[in-house]
Amino acid sequence: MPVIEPVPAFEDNYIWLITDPPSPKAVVVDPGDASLVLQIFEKRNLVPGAVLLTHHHGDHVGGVAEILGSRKVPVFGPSGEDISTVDRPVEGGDTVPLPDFGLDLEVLDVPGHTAGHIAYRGPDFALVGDTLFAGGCGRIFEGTPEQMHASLSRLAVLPSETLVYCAHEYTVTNLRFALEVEPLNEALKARFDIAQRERAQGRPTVPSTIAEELETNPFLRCDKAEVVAAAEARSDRDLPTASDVFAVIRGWKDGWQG
Amino acid sequence: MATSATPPIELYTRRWCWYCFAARRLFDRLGVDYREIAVDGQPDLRYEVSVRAGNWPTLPMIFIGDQFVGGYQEVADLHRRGDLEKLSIPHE
Repeated sequence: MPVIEPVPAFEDNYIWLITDPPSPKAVVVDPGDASLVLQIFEKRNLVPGAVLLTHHHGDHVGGVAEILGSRKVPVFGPSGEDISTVDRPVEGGDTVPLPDFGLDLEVLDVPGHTAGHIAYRGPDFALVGDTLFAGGCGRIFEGTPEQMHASLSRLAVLPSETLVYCAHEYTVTNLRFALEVEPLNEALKARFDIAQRERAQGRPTVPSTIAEELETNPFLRCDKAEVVAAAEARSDRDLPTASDVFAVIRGWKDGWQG
Repeated sequence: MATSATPPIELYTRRWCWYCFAARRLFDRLGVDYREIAVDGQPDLRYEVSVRAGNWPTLPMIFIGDQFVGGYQEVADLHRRGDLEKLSIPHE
């Protein structure tokens, strides 16, 4: 039975490893750093079977060459971005075959954080990089708020029990901000308490589910009356579309000091 | 030693879950029997078990007999202290 495990990197990154013990093959997702991945490989006699990259930022791709060494392993990544280690460029609608795991992943285009950002969707999970975070979403570096909102909407319609594997442990901060937007959201308060407790125990708060995000993540709730009202109060104007609401909430978060 | 005297271990898990795998591996290594119950696609069951576990938020959830002992980390800690054996082996 395959499992997906977090490998912490840098301050708050998660590199995800997909393995199917006792098979030695591992799929490595967004390895920004090689050191801990290589330690795990050595300790457990694992070898890379494939690498999946969601976007070009260094904290997601920086460890690829060192992990692979001289091995010939397919490296999947967004066709719309220039990443030197990618030899299997993919885009929305493409399929990534992982025969060692009996899995086919579907590629989704989710631009906004970066121009070519992609996500990988499995049977009941999604590897979303820096697009959708637990309780938040990625900063918009290369796209427009409309694009990012459309990308998040593409993820929001996945089945509610889909597990969301994002690439950073930002959950507590994200939920603290979410509470500024929706101070009366009971599900959000409960999630914030749980996330704080989990982090105090040193445990990851990722993965979450789409269901949890729909209930508590303001960036997926831009059509909800409470969120619309908060965004309109913040911007002091009418916000006719969910995308307008999203742009205001995203801008609010950008300038928010916590 | 009658196996019926051993408190049954229940392990509530879901697919892809690394900590569920780690708990399973620990029990396998110790050679203790356990019953695994997958909660995939059964949010009601998961909720019910979580309430029984004092609103434990994550998986796995591990019970020894009637007693909720935690997730993987808690069980690994019990094992490290030698207390897991005390809980899971018949006291006779």
